[in-house]
Amino acid sequence: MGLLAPLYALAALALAGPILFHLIRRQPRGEVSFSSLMFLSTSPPRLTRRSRLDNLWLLLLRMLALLLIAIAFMRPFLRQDQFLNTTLAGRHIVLLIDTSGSMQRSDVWTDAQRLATEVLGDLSLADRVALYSIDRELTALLPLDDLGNTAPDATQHAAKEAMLQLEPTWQSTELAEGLKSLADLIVSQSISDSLPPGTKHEVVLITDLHSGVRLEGLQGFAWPENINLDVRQALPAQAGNAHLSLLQAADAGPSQSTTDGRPVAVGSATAALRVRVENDSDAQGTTLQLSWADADGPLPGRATGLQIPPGQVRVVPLGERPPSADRIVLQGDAWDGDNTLYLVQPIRTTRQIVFCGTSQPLPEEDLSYFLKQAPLSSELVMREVVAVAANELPTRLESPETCAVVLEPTAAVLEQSAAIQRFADLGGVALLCLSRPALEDRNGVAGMDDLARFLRDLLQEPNLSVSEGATEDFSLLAKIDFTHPVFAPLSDPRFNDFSKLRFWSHRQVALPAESEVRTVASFDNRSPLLLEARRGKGRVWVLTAGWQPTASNLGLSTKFVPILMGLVDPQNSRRPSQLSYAVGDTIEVSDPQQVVVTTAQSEPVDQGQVVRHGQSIELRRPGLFWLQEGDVRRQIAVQVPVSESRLVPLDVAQLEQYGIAVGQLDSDVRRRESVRQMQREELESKQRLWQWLLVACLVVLVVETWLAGWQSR
Amino acid sequence: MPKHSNQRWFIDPAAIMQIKSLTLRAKTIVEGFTAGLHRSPLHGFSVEFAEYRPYVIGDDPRNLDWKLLARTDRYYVKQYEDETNRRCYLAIDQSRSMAYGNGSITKAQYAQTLAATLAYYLHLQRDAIGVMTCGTQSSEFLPPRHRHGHLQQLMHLLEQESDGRDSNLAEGLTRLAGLSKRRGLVVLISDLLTDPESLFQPLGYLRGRGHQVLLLRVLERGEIDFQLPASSMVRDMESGRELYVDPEQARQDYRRRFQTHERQLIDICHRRGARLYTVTIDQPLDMALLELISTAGQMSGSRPVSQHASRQSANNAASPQARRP
Repeated sequence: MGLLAPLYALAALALAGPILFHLIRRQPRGEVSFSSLMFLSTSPPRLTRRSRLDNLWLLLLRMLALLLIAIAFMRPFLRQDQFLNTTLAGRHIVLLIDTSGSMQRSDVWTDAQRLATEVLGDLSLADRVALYSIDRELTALLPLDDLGNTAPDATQHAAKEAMLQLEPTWQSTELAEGLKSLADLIVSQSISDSLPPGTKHEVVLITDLHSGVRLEGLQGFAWPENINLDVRQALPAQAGNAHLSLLQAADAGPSQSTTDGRPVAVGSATAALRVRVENDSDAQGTTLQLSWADADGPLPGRATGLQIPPGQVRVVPLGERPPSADRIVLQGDAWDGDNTLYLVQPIRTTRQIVFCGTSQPLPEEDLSYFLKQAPLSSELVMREVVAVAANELPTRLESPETCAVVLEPTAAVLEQSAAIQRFADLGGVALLCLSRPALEDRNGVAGMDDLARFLRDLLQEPNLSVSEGATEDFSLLAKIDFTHPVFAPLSDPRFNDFSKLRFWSHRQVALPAESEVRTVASFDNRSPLLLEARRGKGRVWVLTAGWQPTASNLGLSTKFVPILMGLVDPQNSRRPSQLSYAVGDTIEVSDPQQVVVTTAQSEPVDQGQVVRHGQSIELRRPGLFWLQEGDVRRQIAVQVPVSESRLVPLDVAQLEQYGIAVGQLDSDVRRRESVRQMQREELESKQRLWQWLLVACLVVLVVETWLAGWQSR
Repeated sequence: MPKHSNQRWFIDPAAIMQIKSLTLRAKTIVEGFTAGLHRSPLHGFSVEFAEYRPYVIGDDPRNLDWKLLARTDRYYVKQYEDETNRRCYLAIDQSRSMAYGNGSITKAQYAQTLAATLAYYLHLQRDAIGVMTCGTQSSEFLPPRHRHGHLQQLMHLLEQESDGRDSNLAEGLTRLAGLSKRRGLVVLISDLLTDPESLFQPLGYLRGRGHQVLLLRVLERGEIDFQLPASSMVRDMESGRELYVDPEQARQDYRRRFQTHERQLIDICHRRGARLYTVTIDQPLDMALLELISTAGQMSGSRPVSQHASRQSANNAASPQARRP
């Protein structure tokens, strides 16, 4: 005999009712009127002194009726062992552990490990476990495709070991991408294992699921219906976090930002810095402290107290940076891991653009006029235009790494042909602008023959000829090589309209069919506008038209600065422009294998923290680092991703809003119990003993009614 | 004087209640009661001379005794009793609790008869009698008068059936204090089953007006020692509230509380200078009347001249010279 709902046995307590009612003697014989009850108080009902039960048969019948009802509610059934065998098939369970920066909170990570151990402990011996971790990308620790070939308990054992060795990283959480990849993996694995469609898969995600996790990526993703996601949320002992980011000083030029939006921590030494401090909405405290710090800790006397209510933001001016400070530290919130903002002292290099050419009566007719007006300097590179006389060229052109030269082919310039060629051979960049018609002895511009000879030597193209370009009205650019680095920035359809650039005069340089000299852009009459020739380590540009207003409207065009930048500093796009990165950002370097990464104190960084790719490296922990590439040494700051600082826990139901089937993973015991319960219910519904019990109860009640009536006669 | 112990001298209240007419009932009792008295109450009163005093300027010259002036050539003013007829206010409690009785008569019937008897007796003494019914929503007031037909009017009012439920004696007494313009004797006939403290203030008002106050408490004997036949639901006659009571358990408690209540009543009457007299409805009515009259006589000691005493002093006042200065 078994019971389906044994808790209803408590209803048998109601048997005490009839016994009590039979014991109580409280039978007032009629009602008596009395003048006033003011001197009376109610008498409690009394049990008979003899404690003897009257009407014993009635009492027994009533108790029996109640007992039968209670047993009927317990849904009894007769056991049949052949129905109650439970054998459960093994499951494939994917354990996905969040190892992002926010899991660095020690109590959260401990909680996560406890949850993972709990999940592994609840599995049956037939279940197989795959283990993945998710931070910036999905990492397979025990991949799905190996599962079929491994014994179930071996996978559980391996998963437990791998889980215990796992450590959180400092990277951001790309949970949406990770879940999508994992779902795709599971689907493709079930196809390759030729599992029947609709086979249930279980994914257990252990994460802190904070508000910095970007779930928007799941929008539009069709989550497979047969994958059940069980989210176990690891929570910190103390909620609330504050985080800080640097606002660019007003006079510090255009702002830069890292890939995840935290402004760079360049912090020029002289500009006043402003810091944005945000307190999470679940923060417990409101008192925070900002201080300048160095590697040894906060600098004494440089702290700023803040009162920020939960959920609010304050912008704090911190003034000028003290000379020894290289970071800003926030104190007073629940987690200190993200409270340091590293600052880099930028090193600004200077590059000279040496101009040598004609001098015109009208200043705007001078090529150097537009050169000087163009904003060519950036935060990291200062470019100054220096106009020199031709005889100074040899001395100016001695260091080709730090300068470029812009030339107009005057006779005096042509005389310095050897110096220019040597400059180009050693790696310099020379731009020869054929800005004016080559008329003999006029304005000092060299004649065509001299120019042709000069160009042949410079471009190392003996079959080159130069003539004045034939232009009826004006020429337009017809063919532009947008794959070339000079025009590549302008290749976007928003910027690649060159039809408004008009050239009223230009020189025609004729090149042989097979030439080393590359034509980057040419006019509609097929005459080249821009020629590029590699020479030694350097390169030579020939622009066959000038940018002064009488020759063209190039100088007035918005395209002038990007083109000129590409010409005078071709390496610029390769030069790193960024000084601050988030953990996991790609840092472009020229040769990743040769880059030496050291800490701010010049100690080597653990190689596990540096990931080297084809053209870039990644750093896996926050801090200040030095990158040494050959002779060039630069400092970068690596910050905790800002998304890992927004730590208000999200509701798991948010995942359901994106169509993910969220549900609890059944433990082995519960699975067995639920299967058994289903079998019991089936057996009980076949036998339906409760109906007979109710019939018996009705019979008892009929007898009771009859007996009561008979006795009262 | 009849003795209380000698029951055969008095008429059984149950027997007297057989007489339907209230007036006849009162007459029977009073006449039976007065049969043993030497003096008939049928003699009336007259305006009473009190004393002489010398005339002072400002006195009304009409009050000068001219004859004495003629005789003695001195100015004397005659002084009289202010009012010789007693005013009596009968306040009758008509609440539902008064409907409780011993089977043959109820407290209300007893109180009604007692009031009628008293009224009749005082009417014969030419006193002015007023009646006020308390304990009903519409209490009625008949101001004290002595005129032809007043007694019939009064009897008619007493005969009316009560519709009262919850006796609010305090309010009734306060209202009586407001309505009674001249001082007199206030007789409250009630079972006084109310909070004693609530009577303290109204009694103060009445005493403040100069009234003599007599509380005539009418009870059934079962109310004093609480006799109920068996465990039963007891229903309050006033509020309708029901209570389960086991008489054996409740009796001691009831008696203790009843006695405490009685002591409080006595105490309040003492503090307010009122008299409390308790009758049970199995007591003969004429005995109760006797007690009442004797009590009223004792109380009237506070007045300058009592009714009976004034009659004697009227005879003595035949020679005013005796009190002449």
